Amino acid sequence: MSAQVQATDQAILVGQHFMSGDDACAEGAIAAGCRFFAGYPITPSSEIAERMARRLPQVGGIYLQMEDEIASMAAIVGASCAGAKAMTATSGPGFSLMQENIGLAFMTETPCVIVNVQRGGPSTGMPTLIGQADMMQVRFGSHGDYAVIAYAPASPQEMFDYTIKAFNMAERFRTPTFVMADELVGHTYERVVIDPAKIELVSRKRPHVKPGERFWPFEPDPDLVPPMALAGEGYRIHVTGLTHDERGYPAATEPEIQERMLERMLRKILDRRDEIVEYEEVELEDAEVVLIAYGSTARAALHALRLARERGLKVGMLRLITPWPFPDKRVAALREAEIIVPEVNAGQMAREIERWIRKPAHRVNRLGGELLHPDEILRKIEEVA
Amino acid sequence: MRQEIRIGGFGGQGIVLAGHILGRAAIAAGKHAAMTQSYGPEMRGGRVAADVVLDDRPIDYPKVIRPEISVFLFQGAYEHHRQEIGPVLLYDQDLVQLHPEDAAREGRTVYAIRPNKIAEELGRRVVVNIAMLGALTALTDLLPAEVLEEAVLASVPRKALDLNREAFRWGLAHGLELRAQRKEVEVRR
Repeated sequence: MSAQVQATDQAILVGQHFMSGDDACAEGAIAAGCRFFAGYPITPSSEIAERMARRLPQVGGIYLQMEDEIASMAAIVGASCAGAKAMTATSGPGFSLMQENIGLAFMTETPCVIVNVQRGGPSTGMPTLIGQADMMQVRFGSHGDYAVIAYAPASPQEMFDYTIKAFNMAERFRTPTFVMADELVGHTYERVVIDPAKIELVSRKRPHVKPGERFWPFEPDPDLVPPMALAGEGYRIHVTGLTHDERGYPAATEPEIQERMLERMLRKILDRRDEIVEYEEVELEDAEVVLIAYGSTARAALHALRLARERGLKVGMLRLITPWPFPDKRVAALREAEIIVPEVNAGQMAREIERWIRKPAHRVNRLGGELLHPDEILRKIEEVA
Repeated sequence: MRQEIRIGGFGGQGIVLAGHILGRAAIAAGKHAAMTQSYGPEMRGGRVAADVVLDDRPIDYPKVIRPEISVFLFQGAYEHHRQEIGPVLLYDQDLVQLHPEDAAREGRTVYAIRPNKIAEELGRRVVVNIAMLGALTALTDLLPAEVLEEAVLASVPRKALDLNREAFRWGLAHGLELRAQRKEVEVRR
């Protein structure tokens, strides 16, 4: 099992701050032990790169300004193979460019964190304005099959907390993880409390044998996660995006090895989904109408919920903190209620929700550029209640 | 109680810093605060607004819905947001020309403030935002003046502490004077 240590070093800005979500994300990364950032600044995530550029040298870390997002993603995979906790941050257009090397990170089981501060799309879309339209891209954007761990923070405090968690999960499972923020979460300033006593850190498992002894870099422990040797330590390792066996050697023409390796890579995450899935329940006990929301939209939904409750309507909310893995059992259990899904996209998580409630949801959508107004959600509540 | 404040100006006036100081002071006083920003399409010199929500309870929706207090230091920002002006309006009378229909009326209090003039008299127009915060503090009961002043001093460069303290206090005195004048008028009525 992974080592858990208390964070004590001075890299942690202990105390209470009035901080933006982007800044809180950068501080969360540094508190989590991130010492390598490669990126290509893009609105509305640029403040993360800016803060990392300033802060990483102060804590002995490296900030690399790359030529594009393809290279940024490649750089964090490389840095992680060499032992660094590594991160990049981007928005829609950059996220698209990263997809191939995100696949490389999955295939090579390289822990790293990718932050996407979503804006209006497709293409360059609306750089300065909100979107939530990359929720399916994060699940399916790279080719091939893989299992995703993604968080959707709804406040600057959660940007701090869940960036740390994203690192912990990446390290625990040897996998890339995602922080799917949005422009409003990134640019809102709020109280962020940084308390080292509440920070728990996880680091990747290390080989059980010494360099020079028999070691296969993709031979898993019983938890299906292989211990990770770092480049340059003296272990014999081979890392490739091709299908490979437990030694790391290409086996690109051997379907049985593909079955064995890929099934393990999926199961190492999906078998533990109950330990990964997170959501918040708000007044669900007596709810006849249930809002299912995430990120900034959940805050507009919460405001609408309170107004509706004042009017005597039995409304509750399930806030998805991990859109992926999807909280399927919890959502399925809500199927007797009227389900409303507000999103700043044309209906992405609504598709997944409908699969589990086995009926159409009441969708409330904006296509980007503006957060749903609480009144719009309230109108839908009144319509279906 | 939820309170919504909108501060509008142009890029370079320190509008966002003013909103940040207000939020920072609020959380220091144990309140909840959220600040969001909006800009015009210009790269520089365009309108900017800092929207601040204060509440004793955790804030659900972080954006301003209906600003209770609006402050404008720039004609363009005032024009852009004037449909959403609520019960309290502060405007810099040297920078903003008010439309007559936006003037004080039943349920609306309007203060013509002069933070830009204060900043000019201090010899540094960059402190217009801090002088404005002083006036805002005096004319509303958002937060105690000491808390605001502390947040101002914690947010500005060390070498500019005296200048900013002076700007804040001058703005505060200016606001208190305006408030006293209004009271006198009300009493006379």
